[in-house]
Amino acid sequence: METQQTKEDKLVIGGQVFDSRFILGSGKYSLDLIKAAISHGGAQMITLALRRANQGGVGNILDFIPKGVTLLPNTSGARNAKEAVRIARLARELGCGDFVKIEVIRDSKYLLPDNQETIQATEMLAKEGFIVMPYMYPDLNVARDLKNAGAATIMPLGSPIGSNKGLCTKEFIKILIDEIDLPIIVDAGIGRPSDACLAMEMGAAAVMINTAIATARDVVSMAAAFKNAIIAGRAAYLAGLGRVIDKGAAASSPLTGFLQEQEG
Amino acid sequence: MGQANEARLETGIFSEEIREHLPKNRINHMKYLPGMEAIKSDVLKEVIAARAGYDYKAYGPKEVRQALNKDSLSPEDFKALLSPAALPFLEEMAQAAKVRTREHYGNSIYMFTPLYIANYCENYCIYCGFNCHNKIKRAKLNAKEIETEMKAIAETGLKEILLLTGESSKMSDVKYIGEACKIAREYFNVVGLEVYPMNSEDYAYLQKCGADYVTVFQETYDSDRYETLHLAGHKRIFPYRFNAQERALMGGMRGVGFAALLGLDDFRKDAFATGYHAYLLQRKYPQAEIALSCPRLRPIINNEKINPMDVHEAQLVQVVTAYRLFLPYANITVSTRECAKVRQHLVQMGATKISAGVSVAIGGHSDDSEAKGDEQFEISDARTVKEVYDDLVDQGLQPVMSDYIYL
Repeated sequence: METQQTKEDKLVIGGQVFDSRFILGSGKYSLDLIKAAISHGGAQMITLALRRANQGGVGNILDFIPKGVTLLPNTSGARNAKEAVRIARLARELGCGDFVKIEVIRDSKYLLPDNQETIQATEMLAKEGFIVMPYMYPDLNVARDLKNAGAATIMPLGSPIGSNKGLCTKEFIKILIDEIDLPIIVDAGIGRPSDACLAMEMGAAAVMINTAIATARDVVSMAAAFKNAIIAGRAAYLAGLGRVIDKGAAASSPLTGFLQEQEG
Repeated sequence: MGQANEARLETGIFSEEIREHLPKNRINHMKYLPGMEAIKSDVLKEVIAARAGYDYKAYGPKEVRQALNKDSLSPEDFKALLSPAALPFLEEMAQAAKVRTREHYGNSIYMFTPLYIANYCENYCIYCGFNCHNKIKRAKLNAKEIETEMKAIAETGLKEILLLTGESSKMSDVKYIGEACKIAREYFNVVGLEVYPMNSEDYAYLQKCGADYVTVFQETYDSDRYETLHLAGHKRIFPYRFNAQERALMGGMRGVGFAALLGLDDFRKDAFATGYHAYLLQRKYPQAEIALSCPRLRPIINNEKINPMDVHEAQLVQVVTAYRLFLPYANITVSTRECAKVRQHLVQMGATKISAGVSVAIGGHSDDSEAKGDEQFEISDARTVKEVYDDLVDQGLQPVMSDYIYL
């Protein structure tokens, strides 16, 4: 299904080029999931909750990340901007690179991001040279502020994290895609390959998936299904979606037909 | 103490010996002692009122089905799931709980181990091996011994530790616990505390020393029953213990744990009160992480009186799955009081945290140290860290050693 157009289509974040638009999230991680996402999902970027990076512990997650895969450490566990900054610095010290996904959450029930603190953390970390990818609740004003603060991408949530409920915030993500000149990466809530496909058709630059694959009966097959869905959605976006006819066929007597008659 | 309570004393878990020991002049268990911080909070009042009003016989299959069909459960739904009417729905509850658990936690199961650093106790809780009238070997580890123990534990790969003491603020004062936290911080990512309740400034101090999770078991939420079980010591003061989690959060702790010792009193009402207590505090402190434990007094085999209030395995499953469905975001811990078989089933349906390589004596983790003090209770699952780890992997689960960075 590869065409010249899709072949040249790359995702660029912070100057780094990615062929894949599938990012593996970290909420539910297991080594099997990581392996499946890389070899069957084609993921080139993998989120790593630093708080779970078992330094030297049993099943050290860092040992299983192959070369060519970019680590995206996140600040999960941070309850305010200050804590997020400290986690990001720690990640850099541990050799995780300059990428950082900001997660500031002070709600243990729904794990919804705190937009205000996220803007502050983005500003502080961008100044320190991080490539900042903030996770946020899709709000246009906040997205603008994040861009001005130096964000490299914007990562709006589709629905509450881990819920598999799909694109509940679809209309608001669409606004971000239309208005913000940064890659918009849909993060959290994507439950099915069709959700991922839809996000890509809308013009999302990438999607982040975790729970949907982690909780599938067959992790490997589901990783492959997402890979295909993301490629299809992107190809459709690039191809330009055909018009959607709402109510049956197009009207046979157009309302502006009389214009032709007058001229004729 | 009313007549009803006296009557309950005759039939409950009390032995002749203990009944003789019941001191005559017990202090008022609802009145704070000097030095105990009183906070402004309505949570206690709300929980006690809701527990008193919980008539589990009023719920039928209809209410249970309604609760099972919901995404987000109300306290009323929680009551229905804890009612006897829900027992025929156990399989459905377990299936639903499993889905909910996987949604929130994936296949992750957190592993930790408790370390008892002292067993001196000033309380007289008639069901506990550490109580001050029990003639056991008392001990307290010094800094060097604590470090030796922690080193040995850390070598097993564990990254989370739970520090426990008996409840003696004289023998194990806040500073002593703080020093233990500082040592633990060197070896572990997560340091939890299960020690006597203290004031918020003490919690703030211990948080600075490296601890960030506080667990306090209320044992039973019936204050009259509580009074008959906790005859002396600080623990006797029911409301001070009840508000410990809130003071811990005020002191800056990241998370708090709750439990009733199921079987001490009406376990349905106590399980309801435990979940509702956690629910209300999470609403009041949305950033707080919440954990529940499910200890039970095991029914006594060959007990001639068959007690309908006994918490058998089916009732334990009912409580664990009801907790999960009502509080999908909460960690649920199952301790080594339960045998390996029961724990292996519970991690498939709702439990997210289990201990491993457990010693409930004082010391005894490292090869060159023998236990200095006696155990609190007998454990039923003696598997090592590696055995528990491997068993989880065999069950298709992901053992997680650490899920937090101390900040």
